[in-house]
Amino acid sequence: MALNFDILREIPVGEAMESVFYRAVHIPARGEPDPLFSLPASGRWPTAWTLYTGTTEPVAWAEYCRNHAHDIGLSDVTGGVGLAKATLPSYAHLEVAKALPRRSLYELSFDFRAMADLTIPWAEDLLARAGFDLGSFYADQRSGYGDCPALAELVSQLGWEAIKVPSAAWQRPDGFCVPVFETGRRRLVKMVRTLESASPSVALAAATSYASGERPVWLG
Amino acid sequence: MSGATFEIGTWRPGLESLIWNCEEQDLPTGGELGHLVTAFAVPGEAPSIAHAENTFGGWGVGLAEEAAALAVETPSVVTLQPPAPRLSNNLAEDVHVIGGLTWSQIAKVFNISERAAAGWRAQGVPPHRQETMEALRAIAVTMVGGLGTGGVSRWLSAGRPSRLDRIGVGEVAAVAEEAKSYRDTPAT
Repeated sequence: MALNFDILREIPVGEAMESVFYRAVHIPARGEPDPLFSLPASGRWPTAWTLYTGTTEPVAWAEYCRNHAHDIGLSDVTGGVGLAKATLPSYAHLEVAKALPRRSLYELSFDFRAMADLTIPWAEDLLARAGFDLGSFYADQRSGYGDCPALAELVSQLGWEAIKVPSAAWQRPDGFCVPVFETGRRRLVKMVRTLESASPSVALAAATSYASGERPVWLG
Repeated sequence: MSGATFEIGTWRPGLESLIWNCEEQDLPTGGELGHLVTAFAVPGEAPSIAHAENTFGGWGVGLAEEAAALAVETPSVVTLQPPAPRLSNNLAEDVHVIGGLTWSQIAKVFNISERAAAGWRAQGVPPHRQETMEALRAIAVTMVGGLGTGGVSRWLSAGRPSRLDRIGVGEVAAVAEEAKSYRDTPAT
């Protein structure tokens, strides 16, 4: 079902004073990481250029884990024994890195003029009235991410530079995803590499919400 | 309430005892089986049912919260790696060194002897094996910055079937796509 554009246009967009978002970035064999690299038409909000960021560092790492659950599975630090309540505190600070590439962590500061916060009740109501299934925020890749790609197709017409949405990987009230679109790119004001080479911790991998049926067995 | 009231695929025999209502507060909820099944019923009306897989396995909400609290405290672990080796202009040597693969592992991909594979270092890779070897090198180059050579070897050889096994049966492009996906940071 097509989304109702006229209703979507009523979703409020606001200016965001310089806000910092986090992104775990690929480390190349040679040269510097490129925090603005984006494969076209990929992920939940596919456009020609979508830069996926998180509002907190745990969100950035949780999204990384959820995206690469198979390699988290190959990075078992318990030798097949698995994590349990009693052992979690002991393993929590260890890295998950055997088959999961380390990443650089960047802080990206943006000064958006038109960011749509889709997590506020008003926006959720308008989304629902426009025909957008709110469960799509958590829909898996295998289900085509629900209505998210259809909404992503309209962001340019809606004039949205970025959107604030729930994170499927970090389903808690303290973190969100912020996909930045092509028009938001010019609002980038600062880029800082805060970690040169790091891996998600065992605790982070355990706290991540994975797609249905993809949670690595050793995480319990 | 009967199983017939549930959506297709969400009901299975035995769940009757797990349906919670306000008069059975001590019974299990289904979460311990890895499933959350919620039914809301008003007398005289059909029940409204929601079902979702428990994404935290058998841990339950308390442990998930504990993991989250520890994760906020330590979301990541910093580890510096030595710089990746440079390409040598010798294809076989590059796959061996940058991919961290033994000659035996390389031989297995092509179903040849270890001695024959090791011989490629001096004699060159035969033309009909070059494309696969070049793809192996490209995959290794993509992954080595984050994994180091030992990690690339593990990334390729761990699991059943391993990615090396898959390359051996012709799934080179699919494995290369998996490596390429690491260059981006999509959210799910």
